[in-house]
Amino acid sequence: MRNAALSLAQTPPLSVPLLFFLSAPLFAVACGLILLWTGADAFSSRWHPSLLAATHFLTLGYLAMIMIGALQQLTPILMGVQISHPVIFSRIIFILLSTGTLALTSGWLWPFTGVFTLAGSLLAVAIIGFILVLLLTLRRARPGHASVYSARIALFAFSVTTLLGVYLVLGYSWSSLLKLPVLTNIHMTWGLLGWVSLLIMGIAYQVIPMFQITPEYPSYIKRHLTLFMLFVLSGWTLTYIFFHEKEWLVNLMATILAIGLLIFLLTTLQLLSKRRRHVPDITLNFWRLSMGCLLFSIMVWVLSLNLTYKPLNLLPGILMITGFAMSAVTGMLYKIIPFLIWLHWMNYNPGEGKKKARVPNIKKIIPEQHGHNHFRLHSLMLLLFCLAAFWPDYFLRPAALSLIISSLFLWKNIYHALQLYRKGISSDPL
Amino acid sequence: MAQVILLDATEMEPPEPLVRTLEIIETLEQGDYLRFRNTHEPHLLYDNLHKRHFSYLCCNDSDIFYDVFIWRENDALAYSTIQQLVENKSNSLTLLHSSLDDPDS
Repeated sequence: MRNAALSLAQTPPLSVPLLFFLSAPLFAVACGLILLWTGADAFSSRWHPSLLAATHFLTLGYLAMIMIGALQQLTPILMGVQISHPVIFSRIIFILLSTGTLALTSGWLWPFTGVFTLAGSLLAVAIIGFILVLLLTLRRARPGHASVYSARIALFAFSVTTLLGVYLVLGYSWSSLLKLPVLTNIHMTWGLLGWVSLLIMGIAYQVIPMFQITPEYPSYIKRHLTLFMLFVLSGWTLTYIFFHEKEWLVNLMATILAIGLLIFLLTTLQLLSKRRRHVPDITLNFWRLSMGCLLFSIMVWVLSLNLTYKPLNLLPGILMITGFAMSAVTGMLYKIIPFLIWLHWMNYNPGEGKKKARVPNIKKIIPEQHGHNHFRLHSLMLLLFCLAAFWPDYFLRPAALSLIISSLFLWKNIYHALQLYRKGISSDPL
Repeated sequence: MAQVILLDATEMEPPEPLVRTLEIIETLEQGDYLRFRNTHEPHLLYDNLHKRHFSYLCCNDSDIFYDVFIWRENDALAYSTIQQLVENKSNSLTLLHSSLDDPDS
C-alpha cells in the first residue's frame, strides 16, 4: 500500500498527544534546575521544599503529562474508543495540568501560601476531570478487555492520590484544615504503588506482547494482579490509619504489595527473555532498566525495614520514580511516537495535484542511535541520583545536570521526529 | 476456485499487520477471504476496511487469539463460507462483532 491514505477516524489528531509529549521533558528540565540550584540541601530531608517541588515536577509534569497524553491516544488504538471533542478537551486538560503543576511547585519555592489553593483547584479539575471523562469513554469499550479493566483500577488509584494530594495542598493555605501526617505517606504510596505501578502494569499487558513480540502475560496475571494490588493497597491504608502502632501488620501488608510487584516484574523479565525477534530495540533496554530498578527498589525497601540508615529512606523513592516509572514511560515513547507519526503521515492527504514525501520506515522516524544515546544519558542520570542518595554533596548537582541534559536530548528526539513529519507532508503543519 | 489467505500477525510488530492486511485484501477475488490472526483486536483496521468496501467479522479463538475474517462487500459466497466456519462447533470461534452489525456498512 506504500503511500495509500489510511483512515484514522477513531484516533485524535497528532497534536493531541504530542503537546503532552513535547512538554513533559521540559518539566523534567525544571526538576533538574531546582536541584541544581538548591544543591545537596535538597536531600537533607524528604520535606525540603525544593525536593517536594522537584518530585512533583517529575510526577505531575513528566509522568502524569505523558500518561495523560498517551491514554488519549492509546484508548482508540488499544480499546477502540475515543474521547469526544479530543482537541478542545486535551487543550483544556493540558492548560490546567501545566499551570496547576507550576503553581504547586512555585508555592514551595517562593513560600506564598495563597498559591496552593489555586494549585489544588487547577490540579483537581484537570486530573479528576480527565479521569471522569476517560471512565465514561471506557464504558463504551467492549467488555472483558484486560487493559480496560486495569486502566479503570489505575484511574481509581490516580483519583485517590489526587484527592489526598489536593487535601494536603489546601492544608498549606487553610490552617483550619486538620493536618494528618499519615496522609502524606498514603498519598505517596497510592501515587507510586497505585496509580503509576498499576497503570504501567495495565499498559505493559498490551504493549509488551504487541511491540516486543513476546508470549502473552498469563491470564491469571492480566485478570487478577491489578485488582489484588488494589485490595492490598486499600488494606495497607486501613491498617496504616487504624493500627499505626502495630508496625509488623503495616509491614506485612507492604510486603504483600511488594510481592505483587515482584510477580509482575519477574513475569515481565521472563517474557522479555522469550522475545521472538532478536533485534536490538531501545524500548527493550528501557523496559529492562525499569524492571531492574523496581527489583532494586524492593530490595532496598526491605533493607530499610531492618536498618536505620538515612540514604535507605530516599533511595526506594528515587528508584521508583526516576528508575522504574520514568524508564518505562520514556521507553514506551520510543514506540508510541514513531508509530503515531507513521500513522498520521500515511493518513495525510496532500490534496489534488500536491505530493507528499514517501513515508519512511518506522524505525527511521527516531533513528536508533539517537534512542541509544538517550538511553545512555538516562542510565547515567539514574546512577548519579542513586549515588546522590548516599553522597549528595558530591553527586546531587551532577545528577541534576545529567537529568537536564537527558531530558533535553529526549525533547530533541521527539522534536526531530515531528520536524521530519512536517517536512514530509510539506505544507500543513499538524 | 475460492481462495483462503491466512495472515498470522502474532509475531509482527505494528504497523506491519495493518500494512500487510491492506495489501493482501486488494488481491481478494470473488469468493476469497482473508483470515487475519493476532493476539489483540485490530481496532485501527476496521474503519480502513469500511472505507475500502470490505466486510469483516471478528471472532475470539480459545480466548487467546482474535481472528478477523475479511471479504469484499456484497460477496455472498465468501460470507456464507465464513459463516459456516464460524458456526461449526468443532472450531473454538466465538463471534464478537461484525461490520454487518453496523447500519452504515
